[in-house]
Amino acid sequence: MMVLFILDITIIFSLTIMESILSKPSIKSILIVGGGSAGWLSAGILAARHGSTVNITLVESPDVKPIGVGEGTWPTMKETLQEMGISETDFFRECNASFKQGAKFSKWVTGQDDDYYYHPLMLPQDFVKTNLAPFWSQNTNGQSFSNSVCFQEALCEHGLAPKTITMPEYNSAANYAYHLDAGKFTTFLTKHCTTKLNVKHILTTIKKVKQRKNGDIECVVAKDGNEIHADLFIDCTGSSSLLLGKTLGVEFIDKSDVLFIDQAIAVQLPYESDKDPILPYTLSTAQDAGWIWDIALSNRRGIGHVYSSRHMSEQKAESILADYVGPAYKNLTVKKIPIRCGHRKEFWKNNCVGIGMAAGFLEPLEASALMLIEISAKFIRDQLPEHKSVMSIVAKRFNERHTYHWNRIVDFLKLHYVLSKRDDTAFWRDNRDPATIPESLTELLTLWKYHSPYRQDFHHKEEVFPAASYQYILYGMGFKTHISERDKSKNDALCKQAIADNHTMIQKGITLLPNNRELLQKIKQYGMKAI
Amino acid sequence: MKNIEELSKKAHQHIRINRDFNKLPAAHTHVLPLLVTELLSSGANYPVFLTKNDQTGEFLCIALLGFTENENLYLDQGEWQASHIPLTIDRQPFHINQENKQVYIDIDSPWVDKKQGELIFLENGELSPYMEAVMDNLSKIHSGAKETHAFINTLSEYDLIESIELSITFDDKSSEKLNGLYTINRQKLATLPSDKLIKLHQSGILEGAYIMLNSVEHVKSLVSRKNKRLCK
Repeated sequence: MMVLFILDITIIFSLTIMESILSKPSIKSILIVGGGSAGWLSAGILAARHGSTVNITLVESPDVKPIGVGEGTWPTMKETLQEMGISETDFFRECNASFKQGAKFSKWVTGQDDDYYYHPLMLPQDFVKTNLAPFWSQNTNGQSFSNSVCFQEALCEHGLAPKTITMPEYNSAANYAYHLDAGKFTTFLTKHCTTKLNVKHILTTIKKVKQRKNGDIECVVAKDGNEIHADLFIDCTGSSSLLLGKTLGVEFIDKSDVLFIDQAIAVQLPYESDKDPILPYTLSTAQDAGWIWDIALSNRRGIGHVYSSRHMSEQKAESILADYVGPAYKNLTVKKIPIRCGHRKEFWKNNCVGIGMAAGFLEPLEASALMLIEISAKFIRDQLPEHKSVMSIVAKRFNERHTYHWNRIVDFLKLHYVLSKRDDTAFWRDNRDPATIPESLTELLTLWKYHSPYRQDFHHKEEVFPAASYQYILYGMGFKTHISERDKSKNDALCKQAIADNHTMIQKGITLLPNNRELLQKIKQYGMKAI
Repeated sequence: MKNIEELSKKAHQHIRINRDFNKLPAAHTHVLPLLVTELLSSGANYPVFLTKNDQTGEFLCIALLGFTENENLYLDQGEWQASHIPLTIDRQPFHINQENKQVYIDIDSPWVDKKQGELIFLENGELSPYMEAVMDNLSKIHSGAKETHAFINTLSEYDLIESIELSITFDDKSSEKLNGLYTINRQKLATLPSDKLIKLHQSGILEGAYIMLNSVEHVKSLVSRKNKRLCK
């Protein structure tokens, strides 16, 4: 009897230990503070994977209006939506979405009317087999780099969609991303997350943030005094960075010495008629002290002028935007948005991760804002710590990875300015001042004088901008790489074939693909099939 | 081009319909749309699939008649070798207005003849037995459009449609790959929850689904038709 009794106690004792290891420090609840694209995208990405095992709650203030100008995505958004179980037809219809097949940069090199180049969303033809850049530079045949190696520029110039109506959702002939109405997108995600993905939604204003002794966030306190507790907090409070910045005191690293843009003024321009073309790409037109974005949705265009207030007055910036938009401008509401280029020194501190503008912001030149939200939330989704004791390790890895990403994006954005030959204003000249160019970029540019960027040039398997993107910008902007004798005769036949194949693809695409507006209308009318 | 006239005794008393398939371009096709009302007789003759309308992306029910464009392997020297001719061909050159059921005739159709073929109207002005049969087909078309739509929508809603690819090598070693065909996933159909299965059964859709599934066997006879032609 006695022996059995002791055994019982031992069993009960060890069970208690087991339970405390298994239950207490594991992450059972996530609180996302703040809505907007950052909050709801994060909620959707996390809940699609963990919604049935982790309590996911989003709290947002009913009074805070999201900024809502992040209207261009990367092709990653296709996968993101698909993984959330979203019907692409619903998304197109409810967010007035359109197809984006890349960016067209107008007047960035010389500022002349015929000056443009493309950054398409597809790799150069046969990129995994061979690097076409050296061959092209020796045999341009008067063709631009992107047009020689990728068929997407031709599709864009012809105003074509990347697919036909018979192709299933998320499938296409040419890769694509989206233009979308950011406000409608948030509403759409809210509905999907709360009805399909088990995300709890609380509408209240946060009054206070409570911390534990070790600095961890214990809970946020609503204005009615209710405390909302969680194991992991995601700060999506925008540039106010309530948890990461204000509460945890994480420093902001300012990048305005590299990227000068610090103001945006934006308008929404409805189409004049249902015959107006819907451009299947983002048009970026360089101006005296910045550039104008032109993003075509299915029902309107979003147009904005981003500029450096150190180089241009608000009045002048507005008059440039008004000229671009035309007579309709006087009837439009103009939204002014200050831009603070930079990011937090750490993105994950203690039990809090900043996503979206709470983590940082860069000028929208390569539409990186939504993409950064996606990759941040996906990292958390994939690496969600099983146990609180390993949270700091995951946090460290997150911070290393994301600091790297932010720096690469800064380099890549700066590249567009450094390679410009524009000499007409101080803005363009100042941008080429070596003191404003990050060392990492200077180094790469030196390297690329002697060989063109290819697959070995970057560290990470998942680079935000692959070597191909650098090729499109460099050779689109007239950068010259010295081609060595060693490179000259390499893979001639293969390269010739690849460029010929691309030419065939252009002809085929132009013949078979429908006009962008036409396809968008069909999607509204008939929808796309899931298969 | 079509020249459509409202069918009337007065105007069309002496017109004959000469059903020569060689003359009818619409018959020289490898794919013909089907109505769910002709599924049983079609499934007994042709492989039946779904495909997408290239203008709208919506599913259509079709009979597969050949492997390349304009190849109808059921046509031999002007004869249609099957016990059922898809209504969309069989009713030529007549059309029915979906709203008021008014019948029209395409007076420019190659089947419209002055001398040879079947009369539309008898001497006494009544419809000929041939035309009675055509009228019957037209009313099937009229009622079948809605039913076909419901049939396809339900299959789609129950997530039973899957795409298939036909890769065929013929006796002369030439091969064809057919994309854009869809059929029903037999496994998914068999494992539907019973309440859904009962619904499908009661609406007749279940029977239609199995007719379509089993008709795929006719691909074999279609291949042997092709092989026979290649031998000639």
